Amino acid sequence: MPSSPSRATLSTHTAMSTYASTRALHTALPPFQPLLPVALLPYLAALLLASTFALAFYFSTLPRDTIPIRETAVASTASVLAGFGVVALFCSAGVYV
Amino acid sequence: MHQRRCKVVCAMHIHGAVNNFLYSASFLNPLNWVKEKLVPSIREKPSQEEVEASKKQAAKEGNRSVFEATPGPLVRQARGKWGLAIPVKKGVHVPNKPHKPRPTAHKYSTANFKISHRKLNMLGRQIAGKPVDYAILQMQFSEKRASSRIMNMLATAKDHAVRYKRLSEPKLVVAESWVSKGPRGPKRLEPRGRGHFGIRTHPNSKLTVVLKEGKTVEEQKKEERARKIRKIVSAAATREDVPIRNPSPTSLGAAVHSEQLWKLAESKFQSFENTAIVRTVELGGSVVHVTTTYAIKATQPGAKVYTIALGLEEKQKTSWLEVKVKGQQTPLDVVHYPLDTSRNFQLLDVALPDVLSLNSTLNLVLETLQTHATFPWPKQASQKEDQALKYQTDLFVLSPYHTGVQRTKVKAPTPRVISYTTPENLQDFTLDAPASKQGATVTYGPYSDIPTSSNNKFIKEHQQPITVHYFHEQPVLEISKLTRTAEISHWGANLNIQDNLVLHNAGPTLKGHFSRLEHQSQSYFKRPAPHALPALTLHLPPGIRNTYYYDLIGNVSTSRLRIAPAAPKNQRASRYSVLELRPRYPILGGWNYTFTLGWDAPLSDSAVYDRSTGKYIVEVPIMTPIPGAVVNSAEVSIVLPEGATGVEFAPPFPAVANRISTHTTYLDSMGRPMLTFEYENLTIMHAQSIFVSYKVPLAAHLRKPFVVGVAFFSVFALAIVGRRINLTIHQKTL
Repeated sequence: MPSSPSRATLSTHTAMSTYASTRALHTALPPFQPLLPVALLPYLAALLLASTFALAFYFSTLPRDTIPIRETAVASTASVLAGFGVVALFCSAGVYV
Repeated sequence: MHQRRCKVVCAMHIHGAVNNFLYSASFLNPLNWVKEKLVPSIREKPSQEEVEASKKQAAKEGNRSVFEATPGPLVRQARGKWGLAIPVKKGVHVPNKPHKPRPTAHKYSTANFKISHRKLNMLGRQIAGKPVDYAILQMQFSEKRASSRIMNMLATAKDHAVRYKRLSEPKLVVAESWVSKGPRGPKRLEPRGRGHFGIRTHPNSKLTVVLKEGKTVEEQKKEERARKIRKIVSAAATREDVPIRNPSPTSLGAAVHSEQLWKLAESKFQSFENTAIVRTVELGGSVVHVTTTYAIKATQPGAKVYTIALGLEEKQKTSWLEVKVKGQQTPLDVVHYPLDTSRNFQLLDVALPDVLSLNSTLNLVLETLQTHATFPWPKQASQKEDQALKYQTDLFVLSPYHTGVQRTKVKAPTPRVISYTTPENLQDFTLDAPASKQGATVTYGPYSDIPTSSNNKFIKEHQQPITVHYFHEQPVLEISKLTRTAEISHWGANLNIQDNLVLHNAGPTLKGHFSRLEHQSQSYFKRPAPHALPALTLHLPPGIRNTYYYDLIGNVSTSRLRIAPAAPKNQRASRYSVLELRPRYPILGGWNYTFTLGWDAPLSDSAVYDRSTGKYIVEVPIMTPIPGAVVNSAEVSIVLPEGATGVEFAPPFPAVANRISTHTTYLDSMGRPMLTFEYENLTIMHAQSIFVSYKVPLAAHLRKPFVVGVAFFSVFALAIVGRRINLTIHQKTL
């Protein structure tokens, strides 16, 4: 326990009341819910990464146009799916990122 | 007749010899002489008793030898061990001669040799004042012609000083060195110009040194320090280094003034009186639980604040302190006074729940946990021996108020108490035995009518330390360092807690070798050594998964874990997960063991979400409570999700230090905020939780997949560009 002058009475008092009030708030509020349910994450990872792989394959078969609209569209969807898929993969493997 | 004369002669010369004349090899026995030369017989030296007996016999007969008959000229005072004088035998003549004082210096010089006095003095100045070994070394590597001579002279001088003057060799210093000229040497002719001749004389000089015992570096430093301190004189009105002559009544006012001030300050304490104080000390291993009950009575109306005094040492050992009204649960507010080193005690102000009227009573309970208050005694114990600890505290409970009666009870864990101090000089306070023992409790008291004790006067006159020496059956556990990292993941809805512990057995250190055989036989016969720790039981939170326990070598598989099912958040956990930790080796006294223990827990057990403010509040326990153990230093780090803003924290008790930093881990682009709290001397009562609240906007939450997506897209972009680059070497013309 610290030794504090009388002027600090107020601060320790408020600190204690902050703690008590925070604790009360913590007890009253509903528990944390993730955006995506955790049980689904492995299946989501598999699905997303499989579709990323398929799209990447499709990307590789696309013709070379002057303005690569189709290629960028496919690449961007594949990237988005890959982003979520990799995060889901990490979480299902046990590395909770 | 021939033989009889020889017998007398031989008896006079050989004192108490066992050998008789026939075996003596003398001029009159030539064959025996030859025999002695070829095969010398082992003649026993006559023992002291035989010599004394023969001397007595000779004195009786009147045949004393000339050495026994006349008194000796001088008998040196015989010195035995440590130079103490051995008392001289009766009848021996010891004249009362004053002894020469022990020599302090040794002078030595070279002979006069052919060298100029100026050239020799260069070396003399070089070695003057130096330690003799340093001087010898310098002369050994000097380029001068005289250096080897001087070196040899110094070595000889040092040897003589040690041998003959009995000076202390490591302290020898060349205190003085001077050069004196010898007789003028031979003259030699030196041709000059224009057919003239000059005359040169070869000079002769010698170097004399005086070796003395010099001061060691430590002594020099001590003298320097004393000199400097003597120089410091205060700038007060009265000088400290000179006694006051003819002091006037007002010149001593400074001392009087402070006494008066203190009396004034003390007078504000006079609104209470202690009817009784009972202190119970429950002895343990590394943690000691002290409960002091004050039965107070208000002597003035409107009393609101009660002051408790604690000895300085006691305060330093106290790591947890709580004051309650007896029977109630809510702790009272306590304010500590600033530390004043001029006083041997510290004061605390307790705010009473209600204002007390005149002569009303109240019972206050002060509960403290003391850490590092016991020490093992004896400091070493072998595997088979018992473990004993000593606890030292002050006899009286200090208080700024008058105390009616006071008692201290020291409770050892078992009735096996080896010893306890019996205090003395307590006639003012008790007429019975000052200390007594019943079973496992040693009672000091009751002491009655104790005046105001929180002042230096009482402490100097009456306060005394008491020590209890007792056997302790459990190992004394200390955690030297606990590093706890709590990582929060919103994507995985997971709270990972990882502890790095350095476990230390603070009992008596192991004497001798650790015998595995002895250890096995002890556990087989169910007689474990009290200071060995083979296993430890930890209670982890329920509902955990993926527990890992490894140390420096690798995974430790000699432990068992039983996981309890997760309890809903608001309910107190009915069961804990039990981990029976079995380290690779049993931890004996003085041994350390470092290991890492970690687990994952669902985040919904610890965190809550406030939809109205968008805040998350997470509860992170500071430590896993281990009964009877003290954590010397703890560092708790809480890693929040990436992009957390509005971070606020509420610790249960203030930390020694806290800081916020950035921690980067997998798939991080920005780094996560990490709060670190540092604590010292934590006990089981400190095993509470820290609450941290923060906000994570959706954009920050989606940052992670976005960053990974960007990485993938860069690969795709590279592919888009790469497909359009033509790397063929030969261009097809057709």
